[in-house]
Amino acid sequence: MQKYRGPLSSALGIAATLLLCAPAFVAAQSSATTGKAAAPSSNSAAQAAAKSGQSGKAWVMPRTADGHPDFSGYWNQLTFTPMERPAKFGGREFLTKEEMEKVFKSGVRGSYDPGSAGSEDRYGGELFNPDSADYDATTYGLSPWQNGVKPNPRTSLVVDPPDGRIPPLTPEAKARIAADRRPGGGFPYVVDDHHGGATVHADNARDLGQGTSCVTQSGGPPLIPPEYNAGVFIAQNSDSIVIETETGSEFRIIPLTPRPHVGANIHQWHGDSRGHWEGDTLVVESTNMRPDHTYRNGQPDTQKITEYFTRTSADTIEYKFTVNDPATWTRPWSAIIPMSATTGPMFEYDCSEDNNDAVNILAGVRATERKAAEKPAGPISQK
Amino acid sequence: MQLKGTLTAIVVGAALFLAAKPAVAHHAFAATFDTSKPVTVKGTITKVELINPHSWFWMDVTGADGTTVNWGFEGGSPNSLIRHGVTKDTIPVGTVLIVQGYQSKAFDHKGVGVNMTLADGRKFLFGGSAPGAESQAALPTKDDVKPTEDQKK
Repeated sequence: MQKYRGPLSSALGIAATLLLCAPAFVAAQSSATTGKAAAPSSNSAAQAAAKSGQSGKAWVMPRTADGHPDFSGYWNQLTFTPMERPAKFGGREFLTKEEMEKVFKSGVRGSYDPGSAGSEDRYGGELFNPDSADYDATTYGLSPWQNGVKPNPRTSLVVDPPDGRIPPLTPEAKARIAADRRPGGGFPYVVDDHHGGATVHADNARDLGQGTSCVTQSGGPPLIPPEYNAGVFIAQNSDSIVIETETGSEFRIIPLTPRPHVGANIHQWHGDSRGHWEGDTLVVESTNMRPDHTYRNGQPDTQKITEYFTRTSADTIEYKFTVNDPATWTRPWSAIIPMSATTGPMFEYDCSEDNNDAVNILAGVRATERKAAEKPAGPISQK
Repeated sequence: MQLKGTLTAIVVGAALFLAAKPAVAHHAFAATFDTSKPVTVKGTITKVELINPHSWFWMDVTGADGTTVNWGFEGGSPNSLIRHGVTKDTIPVGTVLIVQGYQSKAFDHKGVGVNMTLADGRKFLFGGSAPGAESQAALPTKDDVKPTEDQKK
C-alpha cells in the first residue's frame, strides 16, 4: 500500500524548510510584543484572561513582528472531556470545581491505563472498564503528570448547540454514513464495544482503512486530539502558519494572505485552508475535503470547517471549531478544545504503510474466523 | 514474587498476571491480540525496532526443554516510549528482561507488551494500547530477571 505522496509533496517540503528554521524563528518572534491586551473570544477565554490578571503579574500577549498574536511553539491538545455532554449533566455547561478535579485526576490515571480503577470519570465515564487493574505511574519512574495539560471546566467539548450534543444527522446523511466503512460509519473494520470486545471486518489490507495503513492519521481540520501523542507544533510568519500534529507528523500550511480557495474539483487530505485575522483571533476556513477523508464522514462538497485560534494566557490557546455541513447535520455546530503549552522537541512520527499491523491484524482476524468455524453448532433457539 | 529458577522461559497464566480486557480497542488491538492469553516471558533482547505506529521488541526465549524461540512484542509509538523513558539506548541487544503482555491471536510467539522489568530493577511501560493488567504484587522483581545458569553459559 503506497503512502500518498501527491500534491502534498511540495507543500511538505516547504513545511520542512520552515521547521528547520523554527527554533530561531520562534525565539525572534516571541520577543516581539506590542503590549496590546488580548481579545478573548468566549466566556472561558475571558475567565482565563481575568485569572492571569488576578495573579498579580499581568500577562502580555506575545506578538510577531507584524503585530499579530504569536502561536508558535509546542502545544498539547490532550483532553479528558467527552465530545458530547453526558446525559447525567443535563443542561449544565460547566463542572463544579470538585467535579473538574475528579475528572482531571481520573484522566491522568487513564493516561497510563485506559481502564484503570479511578479513571471512570474521564470522558464522561464512557470508556471505563471495571475489569481492568491499574498502574502506579511512579513504579515506572514517571511523574503522575507530565504533559502540561490543565483541567477543563466544561462538561463537553461541544459548546453549540447549547445542549452540548452534536445535532441530528439529515436523512440523506444517515443513509450515507450507515454504508460507510470509515470509523464512525455503519460498517467500519473494527467496532469497539467499549467492554473489551470488538467486531472486526477485514478481508484485506485495504479494509484496514487510512489510519491503520498510515495513509493519513490526523492533521485536521479540525484538530481532534488522540488519547496519546496529542502534540501540536506551530510555526508562523506574516504570510502563513504551519500546523503539525504529532500523530503521523501531518502538516497543514495555511496561507494568511488573501487568496481564493482551489477549484471545486480539487480535493485534498486536509482540505484547502485559508487564514485571516479577526482582531487577535486567527480564523481558518477549510473546504475541498477528499470524499474519503471528511470529518465525521461528512459530505465533501458541502463540508466547511472554520477554526478559531485565540491565545488566552501564557500557556493556553483556546481552539474552537465550527462544522458547517448542511448535507450532513441539521444545523452547524461548534466545539472548544483547549491547547496547553508544552515543551519540545516533538519527535517525528513517520508512519509508513504499517506492514506489521496489516499482517498481524489480518492473521488475527483469520485465526478468529477459524476458531469460530471449529466450534460445534449450538442448539437452535426455541424462542 | 519470585520466578522459580528452573522456570527460565515462559509462565503463562493468572498466577503472575491478572487477565483484563482493554477498555478501548485500539485500531489493531482487538483484532490482533487475545486478552484471554496473558503471558510473562523472560528472555534476551535480540532486536529493538522503534517504528511507527508500533514499536517491536524481539527477544530470544529459552524454554524448559532447552530450545530457544525468538519472540516479538509490540509496543507503542517511539514518541510514547520516549515519554515513558524508553529510548533507542535503554534496552541494548543482549539485555535480559521479563516482559508481561498478551499473546497474538494468530502467532504463537508474538504478543503485545504491557510492561518490562530489567535486571537492575528498572521497569518500563510499553507505551501501547494494551490494557494494564497487573497488580503491583504481580510485577516481577529484579531478582526474577537474574540470568539463569543456562543464560550465563
